[in-house]
Amino acid sequence: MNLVNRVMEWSQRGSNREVSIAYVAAAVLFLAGSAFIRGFFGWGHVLAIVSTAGFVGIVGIGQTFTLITGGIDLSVAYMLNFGALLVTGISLGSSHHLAPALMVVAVVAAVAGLVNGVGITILKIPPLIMTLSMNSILEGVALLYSNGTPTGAAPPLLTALATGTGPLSLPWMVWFWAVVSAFVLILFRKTVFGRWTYASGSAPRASWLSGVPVERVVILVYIISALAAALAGLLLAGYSGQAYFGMGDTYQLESVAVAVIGGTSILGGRGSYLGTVAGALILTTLTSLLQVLNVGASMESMLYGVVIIVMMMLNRERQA
Amino acid sequence: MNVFLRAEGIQKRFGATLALKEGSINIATGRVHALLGENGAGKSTMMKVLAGHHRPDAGTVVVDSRAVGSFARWDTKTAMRMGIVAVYQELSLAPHLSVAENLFLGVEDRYFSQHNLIRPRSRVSAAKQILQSLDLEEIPVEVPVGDLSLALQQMVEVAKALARKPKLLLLDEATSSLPDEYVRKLFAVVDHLKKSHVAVVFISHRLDEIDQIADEATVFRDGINVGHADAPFDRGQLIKLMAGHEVDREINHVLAPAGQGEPIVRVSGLVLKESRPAIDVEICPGEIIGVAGLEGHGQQEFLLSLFGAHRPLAGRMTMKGRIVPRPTPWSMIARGVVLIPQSRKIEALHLDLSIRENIALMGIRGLSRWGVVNSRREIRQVKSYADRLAVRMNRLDDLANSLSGGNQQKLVFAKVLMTQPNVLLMIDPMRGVDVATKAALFEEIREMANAGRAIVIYSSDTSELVGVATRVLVFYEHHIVRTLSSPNITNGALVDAAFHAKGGDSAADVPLVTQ
Amino acid sequence: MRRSTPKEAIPLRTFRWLRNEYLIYPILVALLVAYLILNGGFLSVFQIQSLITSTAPLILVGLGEAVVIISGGIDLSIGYMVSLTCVVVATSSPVLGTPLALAVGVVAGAVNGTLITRFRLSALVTTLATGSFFLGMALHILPTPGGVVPEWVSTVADGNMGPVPVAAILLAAVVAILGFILYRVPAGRYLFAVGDNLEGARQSGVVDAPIRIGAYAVAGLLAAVAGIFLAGQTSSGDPNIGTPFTLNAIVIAVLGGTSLAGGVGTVGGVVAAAFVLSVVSDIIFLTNASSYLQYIVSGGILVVVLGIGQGVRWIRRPTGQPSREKVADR
Repeated sequence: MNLVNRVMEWSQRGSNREVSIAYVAAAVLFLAGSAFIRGFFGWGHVLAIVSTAGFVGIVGIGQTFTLITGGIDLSVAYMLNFGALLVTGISLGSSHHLAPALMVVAVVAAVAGLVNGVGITILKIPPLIMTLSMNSILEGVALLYSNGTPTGAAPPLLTALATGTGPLSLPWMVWFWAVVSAFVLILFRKTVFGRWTYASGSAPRASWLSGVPVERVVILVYIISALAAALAGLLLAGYSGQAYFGMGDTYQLESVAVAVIGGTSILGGRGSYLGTVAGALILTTLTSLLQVLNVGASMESMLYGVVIIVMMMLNRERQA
Repeated sequence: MNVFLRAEGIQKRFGATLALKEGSINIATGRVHALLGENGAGKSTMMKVLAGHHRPDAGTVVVDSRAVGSFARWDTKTAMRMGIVAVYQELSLAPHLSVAENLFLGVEDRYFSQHNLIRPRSRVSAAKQILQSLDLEEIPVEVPVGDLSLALQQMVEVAKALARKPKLLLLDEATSSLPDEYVRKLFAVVDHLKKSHVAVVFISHRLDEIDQIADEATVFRDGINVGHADAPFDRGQLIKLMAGHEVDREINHVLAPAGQGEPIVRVSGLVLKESRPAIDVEICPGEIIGVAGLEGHGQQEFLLSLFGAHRPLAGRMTMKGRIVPRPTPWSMIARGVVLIPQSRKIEALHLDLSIRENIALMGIRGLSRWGVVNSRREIRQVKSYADRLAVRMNRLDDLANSLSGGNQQKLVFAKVLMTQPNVLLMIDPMRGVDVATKAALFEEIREMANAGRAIVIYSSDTSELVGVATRVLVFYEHHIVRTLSSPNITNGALVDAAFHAKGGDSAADVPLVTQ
Repeated sequence: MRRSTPKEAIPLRTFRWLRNEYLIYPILVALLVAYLILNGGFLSVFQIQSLITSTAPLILVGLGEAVVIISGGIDLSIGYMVSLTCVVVATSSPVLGTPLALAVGVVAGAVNGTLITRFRLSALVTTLATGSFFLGMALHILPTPGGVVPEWVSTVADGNMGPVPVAAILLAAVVAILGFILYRVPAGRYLFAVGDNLEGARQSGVVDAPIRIGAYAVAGLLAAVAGIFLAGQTSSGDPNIGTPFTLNAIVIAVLGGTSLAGGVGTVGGVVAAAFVLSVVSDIIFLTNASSYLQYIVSGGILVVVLGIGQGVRWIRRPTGQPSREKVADR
């Protein structure tokens, strides 16, 4: 009873409300699907949803924290795509070459993130423009790199990570996402860097005058975002066995959607990765529902728009 | 006496807080009515209700002996049509539009438009005419408002209100960012309005101004009208009404001991502006150094330079004998130098973060190991500083936004004190702070000085420095023109010193364009 | 008056220049000269005509985006509104298609504006979401390129009256009307005031909601005109035709001197910026460079132009201090 009370109290406090709502919404959505569709309910399906949610959830790391710093990262689509192209192109389907491929992807992502961050902080280019432009630049670079036709294949190790089953008969993806989430939560909740991230987004000048190295913090957040997007690209390449153009396109909207659905404020300073995880679960459950109902890609696209707006309105109501 | 507006039982709620419980006021034509009260007493809310900016939840308003039937359509435009116009602390100007465009924003049709279309040339001449009538010819009408100094923007704001031909003008702390000479011009305008039967409501924390200009005063406390007085006012009585209890009027009578020992900070050859003499200052432990001067004459830059938040043209700073190579706020805080900046909302606080996060932010590095925050120690420390400054709040996890203005300022003090600084720099730390809080904060400052810390305080209200500072540096044109030490620090001497350097030059010397 | 002496006013003015309100014109001239040289020193009437007709949709979406940005918002759905209206023209009856597409554009824009102003939602995320909705609608109506576009629409979009493209006449009319509204009608001034200082404009008695909703509706209308144009030029409807226009619209608006913080922008700058973008793409085509460079140029041009201005400022700036300018309202 004590635990229940504490959870109840926690969920009433500040931005935890939105996070709680998001988890409840995810559960309701899943149960609604189970009630109306035969075969929707089941442990296997839950695991499938969670491991699929991992992809957008990992892209959402960057989106959550760039949003919290008062920015946005719209370059995740082609960062993801370029990461996937690089890993398949360099490793050529061999796990032996995975390590150098990972190094190259990490360096490329860090550089792209650094350029984003420097452009936004030092050159004062609005985040929207900087990252939207970076997306276009990365698309061009990716096209030049592969000359329009992707080559190679994903190393088996990545495929195993993205599709295989690990201990306790949970998918490796679920384990991996859990570990990454724990790391992210600690990084942004318990560390000085995390405090600085929230402070920088909430009031940059006040933060700077309080001794927060705002520019370095923001640059680091964009580097983290690019790394997360590239990581999702690796996993996605592992999932589909290869890389192709346009594989990241939907993640641009979806990563913003999962963050916003999870209660992250677009105005900066408020939000948490716990909410984004819930957002990823909601979106993936919804997608899975729509696929079972076979409504088609156009309907899905329309519904995504509606869901984002409805969730924003719900969160707005709660805040007011 | 002709009553222009009568409001009774006005109630206004914002979320959980009842900002106005039972606001009432009687405003007569041709009189200046001061609205007094501590921060959070509801006077600003009352004013915003009258100006149509907020819709009241309950109450009656009678304007020109006609009752406002329902508040459903009560908005700025409606109020303006009835002749009620307000000038707020926060500027309502559009910085990228020209002065002329701003003056007539929303009332173009009353001045120069034909078939509802704008004629730019007649707009300019109409603007010039209005500014001339206010003795403000120095303001260029075709320049973007954002390029003017804060003081001039405030005057444009007043001119803009007058362009709406008010029958009731509401001034909310309109003088708080004005240098003395513009306060005088503003008061001349108010006098003129009085003669032409305009009612004026005036909110200010400066009781001297109230004495000077107001005909009557209404006092608010906790959202209720608690009293009314006619000029000449009995100050003690007004303060008692505001605070609800007796407050020591002479808050600043005990002097801190003058600084002694080795200076903590030594500044030499500091140049804030081209071809101005260099500034050399030594700051010793236990000193309270006041900084004074006309607005925009380098005081802020001086303090920001000491904090590494402004890069001067030249100069060197040494701390305890060692040169500080390239000061930044980050490195200065590590050296024990902290700053309370001017703007609470933008520079000092994170309003949408929790009280705990706000207080801990500056000293967070000292509460962590390997970059990981020790939460238990953090909470203990935050709590002790919040208690020490008597911050009125519910929970440490509440947002800073939920506090009243005075409590927010206490938060700022708690935040900088938690770093246990050796040098405390302050820019206008008492702006918009009520009398009781002010006394408590000055007490805190004095205690710090007694404990051997050094304090540098700039105040745009020079009277605040009297009796507090052991030494006052008077700035003019970005350098120090005079240093007064106690007991020679008096209000008169300070004002005299600030204006003295001007010689025969007139008001035209005040900077028009900010950088 | 001391600080406003000419000597000290200069940094202020150079600063303005670097805000690229006027920078765009010399850039355009330089690019046109480069284009002329690469093309062997002359331009045919046909080339000029096709430059104008191919720039027309860019100008239209750029102006639409600029109006929204001036009002203090942002519209990331503008490209998808182009797609949607393009598809509507190609699938409706010849008579009704065009007015219907225009109406769809206005309604779509008004929906954006209403969600953002009435429900106080973030413009960025709202338009990202409605963009997804509009794209879904376009795909639903016409999953693959096709449909029939009336002959007269193609004539307007692609035809010439003597040496003058019909598009040029239409554009001139759009620019003239928009300029008149922005500078001579009080509502136009309110648009700037609302974007510059929303709270202040409200206090001044300006009713902001219709102005802001109107701005999004105008963007929708101009996107619809662009969609109709594109349908006419390609003689078919294509649900994906508008996708690149979102980035391009923002690039053009900002390159043309519109401040993302709101309240600042000019019609002339936007038109010039649209020409800059299409001349650059023509130059890439002329030099036989990889067409993939196009992506890098569209992405890089704005970053470089904005970066130069701010970079100079950064070098001359005190310590690493975050600017005090307000952040764009998203």
